[in-house]
Amino acid sequence: MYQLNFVPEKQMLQITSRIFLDDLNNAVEKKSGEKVYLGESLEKPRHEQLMRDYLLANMSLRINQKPVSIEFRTKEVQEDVMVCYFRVTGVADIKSLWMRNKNLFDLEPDQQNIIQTQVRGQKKAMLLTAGSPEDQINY
Amino acid sequence: MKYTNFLLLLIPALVLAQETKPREGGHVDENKFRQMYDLMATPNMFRTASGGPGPEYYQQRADYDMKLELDDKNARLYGVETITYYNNAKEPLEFLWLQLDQNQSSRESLTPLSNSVSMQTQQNVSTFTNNYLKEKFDGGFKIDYVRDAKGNSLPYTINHTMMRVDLPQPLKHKEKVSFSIKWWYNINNYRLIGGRSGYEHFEKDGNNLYVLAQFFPRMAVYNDVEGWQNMQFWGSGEFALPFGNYNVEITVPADHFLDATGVLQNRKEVYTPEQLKRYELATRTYDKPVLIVTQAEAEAAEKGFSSKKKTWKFRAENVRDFGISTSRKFICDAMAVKLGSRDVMAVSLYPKEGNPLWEEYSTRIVAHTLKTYSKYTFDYPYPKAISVNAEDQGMEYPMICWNYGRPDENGVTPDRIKWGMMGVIIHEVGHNYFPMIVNSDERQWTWMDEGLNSFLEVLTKMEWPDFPIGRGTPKQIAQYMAGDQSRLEPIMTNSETIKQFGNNAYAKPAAGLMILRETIMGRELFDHAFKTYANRWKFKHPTPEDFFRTMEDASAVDLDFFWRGWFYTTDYTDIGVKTVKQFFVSADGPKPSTDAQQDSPRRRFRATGPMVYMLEGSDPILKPELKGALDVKNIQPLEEYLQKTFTAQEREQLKTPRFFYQVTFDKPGGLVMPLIVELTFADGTTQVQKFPAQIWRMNDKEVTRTFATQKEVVKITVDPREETADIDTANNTWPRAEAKSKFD
Repeated sequence: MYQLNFVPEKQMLQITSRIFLDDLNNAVEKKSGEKVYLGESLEKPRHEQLMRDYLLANMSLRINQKPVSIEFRTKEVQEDVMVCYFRVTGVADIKSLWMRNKNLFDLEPDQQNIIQTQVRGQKKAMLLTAGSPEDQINY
Repeated sequence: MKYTNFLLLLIPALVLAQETKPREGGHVDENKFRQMYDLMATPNMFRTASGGPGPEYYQQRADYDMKLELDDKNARLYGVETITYYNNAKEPLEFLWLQLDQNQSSRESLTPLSNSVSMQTQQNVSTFTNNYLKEKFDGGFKIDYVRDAKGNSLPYTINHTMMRVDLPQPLKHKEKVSFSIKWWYNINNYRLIGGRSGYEHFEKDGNNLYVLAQFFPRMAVYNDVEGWQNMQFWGSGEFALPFGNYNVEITVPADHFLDATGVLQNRKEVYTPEQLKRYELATRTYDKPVLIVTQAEAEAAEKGFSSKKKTWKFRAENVRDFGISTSRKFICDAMAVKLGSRDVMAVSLYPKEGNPLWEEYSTRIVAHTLKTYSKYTFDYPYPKAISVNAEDQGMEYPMICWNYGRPDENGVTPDRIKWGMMGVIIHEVGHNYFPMIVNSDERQWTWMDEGLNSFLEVLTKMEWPDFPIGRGTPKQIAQYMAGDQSRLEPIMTNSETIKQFGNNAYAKPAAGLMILRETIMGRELFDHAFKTYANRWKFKHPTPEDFFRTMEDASAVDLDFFWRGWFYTTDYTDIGVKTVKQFFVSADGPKPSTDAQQDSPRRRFRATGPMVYMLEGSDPILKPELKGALDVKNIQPLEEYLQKTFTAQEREQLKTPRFFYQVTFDKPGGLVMPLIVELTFADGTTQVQKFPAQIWRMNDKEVTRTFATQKEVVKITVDPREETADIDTANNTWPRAEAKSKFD
């Protein structure tokens, strides 16, 4: 589950991802070929780096048709879920939001990525699947 | 303003309003507290208005005699079963319906055809091969015959996962009928093709670990609510089954170790003398598990591949199903658990791959689960509870369940695997209560067993040191309830049409019960009512209404507003602080009083002076020196009244509030919840005031309360302990806290 919120006073698009630890560990291991312990007492800084590389490599975003760069900020574990915080800065306004998000599709072909957005009070969502991993919302 | 003048002024205003806006139509009772006559079935002689079984309540019974044989080489199971079915309904039955759950994995199964499938633009080669090249697994029952007690064929019709057996003459009230079915099926490798049961193959040593369930044609439930069950097994809605007694003989390779539902009848024939001695010791050991099959013995057995056979005989009484687990790989340990005056055995079966995790925790957590669930419901009535280590599984049958969790290939057990394994054991052993004994209909209502069981799972975790709770708390479910409405459905939704199973059928009902216990009813009333429900319906078939009604019946707490909102809608909780106004006490006020004339004759004396006035800080009438903490000495009429009315000693006893506030709370969310308000004072201390949910009964949008305090209030927080599943806590505080951001 991905929540994208536009915060105009900070000119920022705030992105929160929530992924089950099991799935995330498996996906990062499959991609990197290394054993990782994300969200565990055995977690190493290297594991977080591999996780960032994995998540960011699978996500891309265009605001008003222009590609923008997503910046990883921090992460935390809530129950059995890894919550990651990303942001896009310097966003004056959002008229359209295009996203490709292929996270976990390599692990589970039936995976569905739910993208919920909130822009100027409008709540809109899209559902990305391996068959159609990208979509656009207009506001 | 005088009364007459007031009326005269009002008339033109009404006329004006009529010109600009048409008069609104009427409406039916939409109050959130209205009773649930529109949603609940009418009580009757089968099920009473108080939520218990009525004087005409009946249930059917099915007894089974089965002889089974496992073909380990070809992974096949063969069986002959004799079913004796008792009709306790007043009406005669022309035919019987049975469940053929294995047919869900047959080549003709409708389940794979009932889902939307998009092209996977990226597939690994084995997925592609399975999807397009390989022939589908040949699963499902092969029925050799259905015969009556005399050996004559009985006509039958198979409709996918169900089979109708036609009777020569209707089965009347209090009559019974016996018939036999011979069948076999290919057992699925559940790790390759899925399934709640099947076998796991170990490449390194060539052995299979079998977890066998839903393995025989089973009688469907016939009752006063559904008649014959006619919902197919699509895969999500599990089972409701009638109770009965089972005699089962299972023949497996001689070097297998096996356990199953029921009491082993020929332990001396199937255990070694050494194992028998260890088992006897286990029945007298209450503090730690005793090994019955050691790891060394299991490792020796897994090299054997004996061509000899051994038959294990079981008898189970008053159960609704039967499960078996067997393998050469099994280590077994057990310990005794004292419940009241009875002893129950907690048992674990696991391969060496499960160690050291399993020898340390499995049997101990089984024992802990039996004790805790017994406390909140009734003493566990069966003789044993077995936890089997089957990777990727979490599935329950009477007295036996399959549970995942093993150390990784480096022998390390990550925290989440350890707690996950202990959590799944609590959950699956817990299912003995719901739905194995309190036998709700999971084909219709997954939440009735998964939700209630997840709730007790949380209580059981809370009574084990340092257990991370996970799902089932109000705070955790808020995220789901805040989601896109198109992805949500009410809890009261059929099992097969739930989009997010874990959230909707497990976590949300559990969190709802937690709110009832901790926030709405209180532990004492809740626990008594929950226990009443469990005891009224043990070894019976309850419906959702029976649960809802019993919880009210045994507590005298009207919960219609809660059931209606939390179980029948996708509404969410969102309550906030809208405005806070501080008032100061003054002897001077606007004169004359504006409302004295309008009071009803009954109340008019309240409006006679002398008066004090509550003024806002911005009011020009307020003297600057009064804009602070109240000192009664500064308010002459009040001081005089107190002096005149009370003795010095009595005045000592009076409360001394010094600060006065009016707070308006708004409720953007549709759910009704108690209003919990925490006041934080200037010195850092806090005070919590709680208002019942009924505060919303006259106005579902906003309510106002006043607070008189001794210390200055610097912060007001709604639901400070996050116990009501409030989906948006940004509006819960005054002054609005700058939400601490992870993004900056």
